[in-house]
Amino acid sequence: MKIQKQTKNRILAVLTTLPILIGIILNTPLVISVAILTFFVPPSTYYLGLVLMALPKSKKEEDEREKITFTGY
Amino acid sequence: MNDILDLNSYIIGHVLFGDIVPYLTPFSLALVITIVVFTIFLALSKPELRSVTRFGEDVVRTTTVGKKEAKFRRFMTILCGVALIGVVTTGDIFNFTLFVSLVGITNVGIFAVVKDTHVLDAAFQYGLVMMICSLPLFGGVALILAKTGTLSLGVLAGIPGNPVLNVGRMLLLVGAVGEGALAPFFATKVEMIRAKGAPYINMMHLSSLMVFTRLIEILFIVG
Amino acid sequence: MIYPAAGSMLYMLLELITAFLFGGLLLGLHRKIIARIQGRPGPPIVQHLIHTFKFYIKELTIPETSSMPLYVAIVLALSAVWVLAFLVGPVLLGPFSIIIMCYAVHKVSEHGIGLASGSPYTKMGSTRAVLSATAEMPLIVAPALVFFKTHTLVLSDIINYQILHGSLFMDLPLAAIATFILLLSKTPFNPFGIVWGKDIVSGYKTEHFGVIRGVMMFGEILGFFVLLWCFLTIFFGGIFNTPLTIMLTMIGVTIILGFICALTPMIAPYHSVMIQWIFALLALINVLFI
Repeated sequence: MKIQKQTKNRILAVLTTLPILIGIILNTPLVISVAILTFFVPPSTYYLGLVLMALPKSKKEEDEREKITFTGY
Repeated sequence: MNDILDLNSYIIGHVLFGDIVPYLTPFSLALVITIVVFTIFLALSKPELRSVTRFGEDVVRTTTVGKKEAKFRRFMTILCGVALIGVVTTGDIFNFTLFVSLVGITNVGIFAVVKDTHVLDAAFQYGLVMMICSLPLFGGVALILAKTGTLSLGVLAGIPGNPVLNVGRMLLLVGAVGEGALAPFFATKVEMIRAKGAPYINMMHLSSLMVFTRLIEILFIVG
Repeated sequence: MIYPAAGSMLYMLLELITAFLFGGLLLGLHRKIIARIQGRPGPPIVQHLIHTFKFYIKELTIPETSSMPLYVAIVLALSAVWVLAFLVGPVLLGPFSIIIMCYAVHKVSEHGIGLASGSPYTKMGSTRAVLSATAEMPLIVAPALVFFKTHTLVLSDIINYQILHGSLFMDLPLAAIATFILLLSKTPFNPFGIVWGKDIVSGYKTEHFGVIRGVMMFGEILGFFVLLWCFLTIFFGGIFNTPLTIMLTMIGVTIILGFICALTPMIAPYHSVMIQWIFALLALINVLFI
């Protein structure tokens, strides 16, 4: 389940970033560029953020996550 | 179409339909896209679970909107979105007033099925404000028609301002502000949004602010 | 070296990133000034940007009570609206009415963000967002006065008018003050910030953290930049019309805003609304001088 979520986010990150890259390469007309930037910049930052968030950080941090520091009352 | 150009730099397209000329500028295009996107997302969203705490109880309960209620309110939300598209694209002041009153009616409709006396009371008061404000709204338009002989914004944009038109504008402002529950009349709106159902309530706020932005443009164009 | 053509997508994207970084630094400076006035060393000026980037790698949890997909979509709408306002305003010098619309949709998004999570604190914040929509009053008065004076609302024409006839601040000082109050009500820690007041935890932002908070802060930074730019361009366009002078003045205005925010307490909701109304009505008096 968790892996599926990460792949879904990766696909969406690519899908939302792609129009921006295509727009840069093809040099689209003004109105279309404005529309693309308005519609795709926020979702692409969101999904890139989700992908970044889920990446494993340092080894130490992973170990700390595993470690149970508090067992409850 | 002078004033329209001054406001919007250029016109994307217009439909010649007798005296009434619906037109599309970058401004109205932006408004239409905003409304369509918002309406789609608000209609798709499920209502939130509201957490409620009471004195003397050590629990947090969650309540939500019932299925039947949600169905009707979603329908009213979509209808409100359609009316808003009419408000922002029309090129005729009379149509503008009709769509603004339709927005008001759907706003009351969104809250009419909520089972909460406070909300219903506020909705009733909003309905009263709406009915009272329909007089200046249509009266203002009638005054503009009587003075200029046209209701088309494209023609009105070329007619220079005069005192009678200014009175008409003021009446239109008061009327639309009351119908859309804007600044001085918004006390009832604050009471109404105590209701549950986030997407539907948000539509009401969206509708009043969209009416407000379009109203600014129309007030500038007339005269 | 090859520069991208003005109006091309790459150019606009680079401008967007520059504005984001500069706006973030301005808000950092704002915090630093508040801290210094209150006798604290304060965070470094880059702190606001670091804060935004930090949220991008923090874990996102979506409350079970929230209304999906509104919870996520409305935050994206908030930042999309300011991206549009930035492109139409500072980059393309297009119609000012679109920026008014963006401000209105920003208000709707604030309201929706508060409603969508189902928490009582955010609900309270969103209720106050409806109440504080009276800040729309200066927004109707200022463009109206500018339109009656210049007979245009297209930003490039307003700038040209001011270059020919002198800055509009000289003709419309009260409208400029009302717009300044509007700008103030969008700065962090301002006296009118009832929507994110600490008496209701964090207002409408209470339930938003993680990546989604990062997106929200991205939008808010752009919004601050755009409003600051609009204020300077509409009322001081005759004096400050090169990028360098605008940037320097932005820093100056941020310092003034910092002083105001540091020295004023948070005002109670109804008083906040009342004071904003008074300034809007003052601006209406300006009609007599046109």
